Amino acid sequence: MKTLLKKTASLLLTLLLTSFLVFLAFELIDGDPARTMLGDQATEQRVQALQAELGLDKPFFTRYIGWLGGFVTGDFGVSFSYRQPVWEILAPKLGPTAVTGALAFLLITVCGLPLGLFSAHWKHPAVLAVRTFFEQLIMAVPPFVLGIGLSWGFGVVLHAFTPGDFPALSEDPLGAVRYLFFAALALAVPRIAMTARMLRMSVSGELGRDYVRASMARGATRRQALTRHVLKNALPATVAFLAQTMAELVGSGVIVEQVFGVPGVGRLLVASIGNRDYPVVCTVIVMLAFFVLVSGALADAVNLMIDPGRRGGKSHA
Amino acid sequence: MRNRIAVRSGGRAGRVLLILGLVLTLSVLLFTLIGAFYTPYDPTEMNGLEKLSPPSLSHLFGTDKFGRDIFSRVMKGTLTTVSVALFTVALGGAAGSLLGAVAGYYGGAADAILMRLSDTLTAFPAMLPALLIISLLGPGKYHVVLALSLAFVPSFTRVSRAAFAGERQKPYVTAARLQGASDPRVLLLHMLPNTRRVLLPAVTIGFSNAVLAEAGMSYLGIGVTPPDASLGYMLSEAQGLLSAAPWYALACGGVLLVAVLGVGLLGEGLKHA
Repeated sequence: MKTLLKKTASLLLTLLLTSFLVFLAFELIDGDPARTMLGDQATEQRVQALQAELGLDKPFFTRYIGWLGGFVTGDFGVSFSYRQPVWEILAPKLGPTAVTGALAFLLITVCGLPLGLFSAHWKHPAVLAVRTFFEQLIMAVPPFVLGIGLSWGFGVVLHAFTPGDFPALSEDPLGAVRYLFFAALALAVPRIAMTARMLRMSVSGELGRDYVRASMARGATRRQALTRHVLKNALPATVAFLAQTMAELVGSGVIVEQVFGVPGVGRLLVASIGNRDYPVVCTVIVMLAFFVLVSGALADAVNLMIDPGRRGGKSHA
Repeated sequence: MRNRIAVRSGGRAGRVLLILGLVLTLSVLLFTLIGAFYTPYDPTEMNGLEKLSPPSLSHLFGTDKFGRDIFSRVMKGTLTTVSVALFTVALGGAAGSLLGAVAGYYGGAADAILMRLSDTLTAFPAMLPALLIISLLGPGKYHVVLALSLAFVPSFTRVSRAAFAGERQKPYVTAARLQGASDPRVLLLHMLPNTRRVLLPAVTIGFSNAVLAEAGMSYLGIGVTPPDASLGYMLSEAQGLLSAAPWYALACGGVLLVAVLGVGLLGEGLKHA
C-alpha cells in the first residue's frame, strides 16, 4: 500500500514537472502567437485585443496555474489556431491513434513472444548467425520507410487499400480498421523482432542456470521447466520492454500517421507545433506523457503479479 | 559443457556478424565520404529530357520528376543524414557519458537526483523531446543536431552510469587511486577502456536511433530542410511518386536500412567479440 502511494505520488510529480517544462518551452519560443495569428499587417490594438482574448497578457505563472487548473477539471483550454476548445479538436483524433497503437501492440505481443520462445532453443552456430542477421535486418527497418513500402505494395500494386484515403472510423469502422492495420503493421514489424530478441535473451540466460538443470533432474521435461520456472524469471524484463514499446509506438506513430495520412493525435501534434498552437501541444504532450508513465506503472503491476517476490525490490529492466 | 560450447559458437557467430557489420558500415561511410567530394551528376541539375527514367547504367537509381539523378541526390542525402547522426552521437554521447561517469563514480545525492531525472526522461520516446526542441529552434541541420543530442543525453547517462558504478568497486580502481592517480585520470585512462563493452554498443544503438530520428523529422518537414538534401526529406518526395517512380523510395529507404543494419550488426558483434 505504501509502495503504491509512493508510486502514485512520484507519477503525479513527474506529470506536473513535464507539463511545466512543456509550458515553459513554449514560453521561450520567440513568437508572440497573437501576432503570428494576425499576420504582419495587424495593428497594435488588434494584437493587444487578441492577447487579452487568449489570456496572453497575464504573467507566465498565472497562465500556467490557470491552465493546470483547467487541465485537472477537464478543460484543456482553447486552441489558438482553430479558436475551438482543445478537447473538441483532440477528441476525434484519439480513435484512429488508439486503434493503430492497440493493433500494433497486439501484433507485437502475438508474434514477438512466441518467436522469442521458439528461437531460444536454436544452437547451431550457423543458425545463430543467420538468426541474428535477420533479427538485426528486421530491427533496422524504419517504421515509416516500411509504411511507404506497404503503401506501395498493398496500395499501389495490390489495391488492398487506397493510401491517403482514410475512411472515417465512425462511418466505416471495418474499412477504417483495415486501413489502420497497415499502419500498425509498419509500426509493429521492427518491434516484433526486438521483443522476440529481448525474450530470447532472457530465456536463454535463464536456461543455463542450475535451477533448470535441477528441475529437469527431478524429471521435468524441458517444456515443463520452461513454463513453470524459466518464464517467471525471464518475463519481467520483457514486460518492462513492452511498456517501453508502448511509449515508442507513440513516438514512431507520429511519423507513421503522416505516412498513411491517418488523422490522428500525432499529425495534430506536428501541425500544432508548426502553428505554435501551444494549448494543443501542451495537452497532447502531457496526455502522451501520462500514457507513457501509466504503461510503465502497468508493467510494474504485471511483474508483481508474475512474481510477488519482487515486491519492494527494484525492477531491473 | 553445453554452456561452454554455446559461448564458443556464439563467439564465432559474433565474429561473422562483426565482419559483416564492419563491411556494411564502412561501405556506407565510404559512400558518404565520396559523396562529400564527388557525385556522378550535379544533384540539383534538372534535365527535362530524362524525367522519371527508371534505373539504368547512366542513372543507377533512375531520375526524379525534374530529371535529377537520384544516385547523386542519395549520396548527398546520406552525407547529411550520416553527419547529423555522427555529430548527435558525439555530442549527446559525450555529454551523457560524462554525466553518467561522474554520477556512477562519485555516487551520493547528485547521483540519486540525476538518475531519477534520467530514468524519468528515458521513459519517454526520444522523439517527443526532440520534436519539442525543434519546434523551439525551428528547422535546419544544426538545430536537428542540437535537438537530438539533447534528447539522447538521458539514455547515454543511464548506460554510462551503470557501467561506471559497476567498475568503481573493482580492485584495479582502488589500486590506481592508491597510487595517487587523480579522479579524471582514473575515470578516463583506467575505467573508460573497461566500460567499452557497454558503451560501444550504446554508441552504435545511439547512431542508428539518430539516423532514424533525423530521417523521421526531415520526413515530417521539420528537420533538415532544402536546399540541404536529407534521406528523410527525399523519402517524403519519393512517397508522392510511388506509382511513377518506386525506385526513388527504394533507393532512399534501402540506404537508410543498410546504414542502420550495418551499425546494428557492428554493435551486436562488439558485444560478443
